[in-house]
Amino acid sequence: MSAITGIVADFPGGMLLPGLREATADLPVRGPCLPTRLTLPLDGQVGLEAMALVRAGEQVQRGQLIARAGGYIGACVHAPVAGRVEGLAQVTRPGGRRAQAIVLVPDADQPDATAAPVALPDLALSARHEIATETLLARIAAAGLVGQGGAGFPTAVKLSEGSASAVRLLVVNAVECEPGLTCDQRLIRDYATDVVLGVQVLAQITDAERCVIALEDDMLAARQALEAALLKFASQDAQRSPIEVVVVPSRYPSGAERQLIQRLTGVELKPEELPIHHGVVVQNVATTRAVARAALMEEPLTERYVTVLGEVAAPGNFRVLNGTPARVLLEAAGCPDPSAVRLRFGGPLTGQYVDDLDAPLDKRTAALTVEPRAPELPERACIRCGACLPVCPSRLHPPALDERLRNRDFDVALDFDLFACIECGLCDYVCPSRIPLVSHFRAGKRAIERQHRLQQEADRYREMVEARAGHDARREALADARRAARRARRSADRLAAPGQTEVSAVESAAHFSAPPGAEPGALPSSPSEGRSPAPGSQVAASSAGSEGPSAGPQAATPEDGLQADIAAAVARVRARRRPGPGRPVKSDAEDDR
Amino acid sequence: MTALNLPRPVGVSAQMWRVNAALVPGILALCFCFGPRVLMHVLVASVTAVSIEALVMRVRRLPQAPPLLDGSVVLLGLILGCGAAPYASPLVTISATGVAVLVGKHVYGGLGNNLFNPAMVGYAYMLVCFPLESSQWRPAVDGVTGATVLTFSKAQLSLGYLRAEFMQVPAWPGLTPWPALGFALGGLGLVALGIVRWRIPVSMLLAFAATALVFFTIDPSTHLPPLTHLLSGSLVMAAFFVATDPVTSPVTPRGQLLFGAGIGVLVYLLRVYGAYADGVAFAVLMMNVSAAWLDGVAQPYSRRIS
Repeated sequence: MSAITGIVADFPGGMLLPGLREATADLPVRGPCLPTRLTLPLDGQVGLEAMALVRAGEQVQRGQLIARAGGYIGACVHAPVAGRVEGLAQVTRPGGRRAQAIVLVPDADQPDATAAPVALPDLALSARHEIATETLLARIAAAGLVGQGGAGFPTAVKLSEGSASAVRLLVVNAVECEPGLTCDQRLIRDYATDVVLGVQVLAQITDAERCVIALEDDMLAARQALEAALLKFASQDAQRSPIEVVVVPSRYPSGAERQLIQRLTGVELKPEELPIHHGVVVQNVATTRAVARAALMEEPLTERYVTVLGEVAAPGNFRVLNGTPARVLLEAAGCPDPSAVRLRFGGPLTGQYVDDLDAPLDKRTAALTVEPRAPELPERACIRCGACLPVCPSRLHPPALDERLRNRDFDVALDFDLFACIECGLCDYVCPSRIPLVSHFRAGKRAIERQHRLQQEADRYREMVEARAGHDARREALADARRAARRARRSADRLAAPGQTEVSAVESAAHFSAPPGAEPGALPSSPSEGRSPAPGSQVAASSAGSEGPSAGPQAATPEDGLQADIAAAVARVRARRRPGPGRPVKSDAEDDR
Repeated sequence: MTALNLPRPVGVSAQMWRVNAALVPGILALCFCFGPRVLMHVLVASVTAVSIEALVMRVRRLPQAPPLLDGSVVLLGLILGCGAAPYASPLVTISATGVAVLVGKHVYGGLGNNLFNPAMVGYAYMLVCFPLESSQWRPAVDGVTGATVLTFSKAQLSLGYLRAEFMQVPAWPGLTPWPALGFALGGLGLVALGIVRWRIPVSMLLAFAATALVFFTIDPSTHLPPLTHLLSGSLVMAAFFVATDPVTSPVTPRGQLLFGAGIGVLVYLLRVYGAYADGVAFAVLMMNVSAAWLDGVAQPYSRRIS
């Protein structure tokens, strides 16, 4: 196979960060270590919290469903080992949040928990064609699969969307999320058959025109394993278009979804666009393998490969059960003094700091980066050196964005495309003033989303108040009109020429009733408003008309009513177009890196 | 073991100290050409700058240690010291340094927030308020102020002499290229280390040379040759050490090219038409004002920029 085919473009920015993988790439996988307690978090990165299905004290089997997905966008949780449920507990999550978790005490006697899962038999392939797509999707949902590239978006949801749309390109992303990670290539080397089967299942579900497995140029052994597996299946699966292996040059963040798509298709996704808008579905390679095992063996997702790197005696890849506390992994990798290090869930660039050693690793934690707790250089003022500009893969202007966010100029921050930031961490990394730009951007996004939500609520509330105010205004106008009519009647009684006066009186009453409708600020938006045009004028006209049967008032009434009606309708439309939330705020949930 | 050998780019203060070190060859060359009083001014300016900075930080109740150690204040002092005329009174240098640190930097909020290059603020103050003092580059002989190539030729041209004439007189100071070459050496080192980006010095020197060449071609009798211009005055030092100050220059690549070119052209025009022999300080200050605007004009990164 030729080395670099299938790459049509390059992404801007990025950085070559070589020399971080040699330490772990060729080491065999270790683990899993069986902790005394597993804490299985119920929340995902996105979606609703799962609902626990077990009680304290209950005995559960390995692979048993213990928490059900909380909604359409959510994922199930299964017991990684047999054990006894101790109850619920609060655990620390990446980013410092706290969340509910099921505490599971593994049984002392675990005959098969530590055995490595055997690769899927080849005959799984022949069985595949007999399984309907709906069944495959249901099995994937039931297995609790989430994107293992870091975003943790429920796989079944993503695939259902993919299944419902025309998919041009299916990309299995085996480009490591970050420099220093080797868990994906390790997984391919160990389970190449599983991966190929997973791609075929994905191809069936999405009915993609083209299937691509994207690898990095330094993953030689993984590529060989994958090509051997593909060769094995090529003869059996001739009717489909072959699965292509595309080797992308290793330049961080080439494993990011948007950057990978840009390389493979030349399309730079806009911040508000998702891959599926361009007919592309991207799945992480670990997810793909889990898809195969879930769809063909109905095996739930309870463990994954995790790269442990940094300040440990023996860095490497570990099989990690869902819910394993970081402390256990740290001990397994050989960290003599856990108080001297800081943990990051994720790689050295995007990993989020977690200060609780008992925080559990879950299905989407690809790496545990152990940093020395050495004093970092102090944060300084931005000296506008511009080092962050050429490395940004989203072509952003980080210092300008940061300044706008500091001043809380959210509108300008959106103009500067804040939501195009993929949080790759390169601007942080190169900043000589050591400004934590990405965490500022993350906080800025959260603040804008919060403001957006508050704005929506405020709009709803204001509509309610205005409807109420409109009601009151109409009642007042009605009373005014009655008073005016009464006055008109009285003056008509007194004066010799009644017809002339009556017209002017009724007109004034009608005009009087119009202003509340014509003023856009205090505008009623109740539906009844439109149907009863200018009630004041009607009443005035009828009361006046009943007195003197002159042509004047009767001719004036319908016209005034119509005008008030139009004014009210215009104002209603205006009220609806009230300065709402300026732009749609994109959720970055589906960035599966 | 440190498996995580992800080498981070050096921090601000390490960068600043490297810039300071890169100034050394230029300062030594200045001493060689203009005598040891250069060193006196450099020391006076640096010590004053650090002292005033410490005082300001104390008054503003800011942490003292990092800004004092980060080298940017020392850099300010070194640049001002190099710009000061060696036979001027040290009091002039001290007051100019005070203006530079206080007005040039802290009035705007300190490092990173200043609009103008602080050293150039001090230098411009020195030129405007002490014009006589700041032209004393050589010991005054027989009551005549010591001159440089630029001051001498400016004076002679204003008296109506032609270049061919005044370059022959015994008082012609002669070209002193060593300081410029020394600063170029240090500056190129910084470019090689990646601390100074090449765009500003290159565009500045090229634009300057091109302008000088045009003027020289049109009228060689009243204009100095481009090379003489290039190697005189503080042009080269400014190209590598002043104009490249990240705080007061554009961040975008194209903005930097325009910024450098603007300074280059302005320096030449000020040398020929301005009241002063050299125009580096004023040219840099003028382009500092335009830096933000240039960034906006030349913004290649953000897709939507207001």
